[in-house]
Amino acid sequence: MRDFHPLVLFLYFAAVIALSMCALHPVYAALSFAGALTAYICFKGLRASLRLCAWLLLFVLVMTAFNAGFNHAGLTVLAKPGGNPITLEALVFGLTSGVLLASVILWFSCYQEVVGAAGIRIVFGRILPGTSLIVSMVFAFIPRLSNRATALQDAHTALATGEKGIVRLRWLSTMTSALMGWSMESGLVTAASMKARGYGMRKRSSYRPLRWRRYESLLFAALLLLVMAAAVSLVLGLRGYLFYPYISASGSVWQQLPYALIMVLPLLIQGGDKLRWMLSS
Amino acid sequence: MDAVKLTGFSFAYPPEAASAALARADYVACSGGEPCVGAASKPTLDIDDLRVPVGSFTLLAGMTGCGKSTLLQCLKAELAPQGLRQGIVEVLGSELTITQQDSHSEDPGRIGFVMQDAEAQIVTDTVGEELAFGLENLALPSAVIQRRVAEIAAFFGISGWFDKKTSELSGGQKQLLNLAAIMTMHPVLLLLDEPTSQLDPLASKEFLSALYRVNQELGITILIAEHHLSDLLPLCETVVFLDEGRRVFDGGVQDFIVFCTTEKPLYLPALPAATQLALTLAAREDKCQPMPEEGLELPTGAQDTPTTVRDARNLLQAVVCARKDAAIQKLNSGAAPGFQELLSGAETERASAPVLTTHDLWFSYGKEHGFVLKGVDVAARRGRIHAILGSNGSGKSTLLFALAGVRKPQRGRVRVEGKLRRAALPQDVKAILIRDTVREDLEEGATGFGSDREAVQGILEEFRLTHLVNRHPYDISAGEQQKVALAKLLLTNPDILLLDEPTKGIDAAAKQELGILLRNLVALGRSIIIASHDLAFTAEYADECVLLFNGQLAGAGKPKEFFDGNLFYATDINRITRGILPGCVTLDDVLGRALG
Repeated sequence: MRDFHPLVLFLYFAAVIALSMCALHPVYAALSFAGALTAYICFKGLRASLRLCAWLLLFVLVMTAFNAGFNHAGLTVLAKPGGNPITLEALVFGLTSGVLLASVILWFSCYQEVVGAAGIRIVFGRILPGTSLIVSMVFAFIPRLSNRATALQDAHTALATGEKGIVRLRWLSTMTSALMGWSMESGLVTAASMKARGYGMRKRSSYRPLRWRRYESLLFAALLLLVMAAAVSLVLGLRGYLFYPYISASGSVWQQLPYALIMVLPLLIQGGDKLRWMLSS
Repeated sequence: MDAVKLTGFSFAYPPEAASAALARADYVACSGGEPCVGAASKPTLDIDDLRVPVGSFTLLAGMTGCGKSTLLQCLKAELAPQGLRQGIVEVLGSELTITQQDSHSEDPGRIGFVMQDAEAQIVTDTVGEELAFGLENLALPSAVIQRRVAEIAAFFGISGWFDKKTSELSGGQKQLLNLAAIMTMHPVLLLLDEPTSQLDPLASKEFLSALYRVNQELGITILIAEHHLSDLLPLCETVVFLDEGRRVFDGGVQDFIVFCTTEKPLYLPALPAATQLALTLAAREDKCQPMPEEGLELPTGAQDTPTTVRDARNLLQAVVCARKDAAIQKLNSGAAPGFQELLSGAETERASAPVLTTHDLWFSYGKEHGFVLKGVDVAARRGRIHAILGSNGSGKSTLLFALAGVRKPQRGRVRVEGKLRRAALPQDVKAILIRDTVREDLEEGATGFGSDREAVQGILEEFRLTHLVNRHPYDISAGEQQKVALAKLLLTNPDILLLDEPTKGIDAAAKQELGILLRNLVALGRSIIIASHDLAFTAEYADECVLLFNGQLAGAGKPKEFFDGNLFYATDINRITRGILPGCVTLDDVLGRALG
């Protein structure tokens, strides 16, 4: 999936994130979550996913408990500790919104893993070349800054001039200003290097080595269709669903199919790839 | 035709900018030792006539602060400093007129400019984008950019790391990328301001050979200012020498060598070791035997003073053969280098107990990185300079900071004798020069370590830094920065000094001064550990050399036996004399032992 054009990937992730955000429906939220989790496992591996999963589980539990404890709407009372009714409806609502948020977080993590900041730049480079350059410069600057901070810290640990307590606070401010001074000094060189290479002469053009071919167009169109079908599916699902006063749903399971399909797409593609490799070797 | 032609040109920084720009020793005529107050009134550059022929490889030489950088900047409209300009500057056949500060030439790509700081010149975060940066500025169509980037990446062999982030590159790769990023713009003239001074010797050789290819295969004119000439001078055709902003020499390399011997003996230490050796030999020959009997038969082509190890070897061989001199014969037979000396040396070592020791030191930056140090044993002694050599990324700096107590080793311990204090000088001294003036920096070093204002004053005088006290530490030359940083370190009263690449980026004269300072320090009972790439410097000043390889220290020995036993990790002098005059590592060895 990583070999897809960033614009296709961008469309896909923007769509699933937007859909997941709206999916306040237990089945749809569960589908989103299942899709996001399998995609995350595909990209990051099982071990890394388990750790994130543990955090998300905790998050979902807290959301559920919070909603059930403070929201008393709904007719199906499960228990009444201290006169406050805990209802099934509130419990399900809390669980659904927790899972919804967890799936959004997971989708964002997948996006970061597959497309990342470089992808944003490729997508927007042509539309906003200036912004794209700034992002690039920032990403070049951050490692330099952190290297310099480490160098400063090491040098002064070695000199043993770093004090503790309030003196240390003052010390930190000195270090910060030294770091700024150092960075500005090297910034002057960067500016000269930019100017020497004609920066600011005229509007810049853009160099994008990734090309857009027929294959990408087809993929993009197909994906767009699927996104629209999934959106319709979600709208239909949400229209026939109520949490309060008691949970009620209408419509067939079949109408959830396009939504399910778009959510498990990474799994299908990654799995298909693996199968193809296995068959060909 | 000339690529660069200056006629009656002079340049002076404006008075209001004088305090900032004039202070910078790189940019202004102001030789060490003297206060720079008067410099504002006289022009930084005053050049009657200067020509750089098209297609030539020209060296711009001169002592630190002679105006080399200013001259290079004056040749490119985008970088031309503000100030008073007179005379005519013709670059690539058209007159350069600087009307305002933000001026752009017609095609900024025609003149490429490479600066000293490899990292700061890089603008973007990936190699591909960096190569395309200039072309995007010229608003070329994407297809053209892609073709040029691909072509240049292939020419410089960048394809292997094309997809990398610029922050992951080594120093040498960064500077090569800067050159390549300029080459995509198809320049006709390249101006380079000390491009290799921050690189290690291997990376510097690689950079220069890439530059040589650019000149030879593409016919691009090159004008390069540099301090370290050992690898550069053999590549150059012509040399321009500046002295206090004036062009005092302009001509071929051989004439330049003659010029140095007759007019600028102070500049001699900057010449390649091969040349220095040849000049010394010639001087000896003249003195001892005005006319060598039966005629000294030199190999053909050796009328030229050699600039490379190979030519110097040929010359030396010829001299030795010609002078079937008793002294040399004796040396040739009995000079498996001073075995007795080594033995007596070992005894004195046993006598002085080590002040800093480690046993089986292991260090790693994290689980996924593997071990950088794999069982290092160090024993530093009082009154000695220990040198740790090794290639880039071999872990020299890591070891030094582990010895300084900054990095905690995973296994093993650093033992320091008694309550001795350690102090470490980082590779980039900007990390410890953090105040606004040199004085403030030094006073900070002094406070809390039993030094007072008098101590500060004392060290200022000892290091000859008094004229710099009110300057910003960034506005002094690299050699001066090194001295200020060392002074700051000494004000904390350390017994053990750990220095990381102390000779990086400083000129030959500053190196010599630093070496003598270090010798004085150990004579007073301190011990010094240096991590360095500079073989000649360590051969000259260290007491013990050791190679850090694959996380372990190997082949510790006195410089003489250490360098004499190596083929690659050997000083140029040793490579020249190997097999001809055994046991010579420095120029003094050749002088004192072989021809004395």
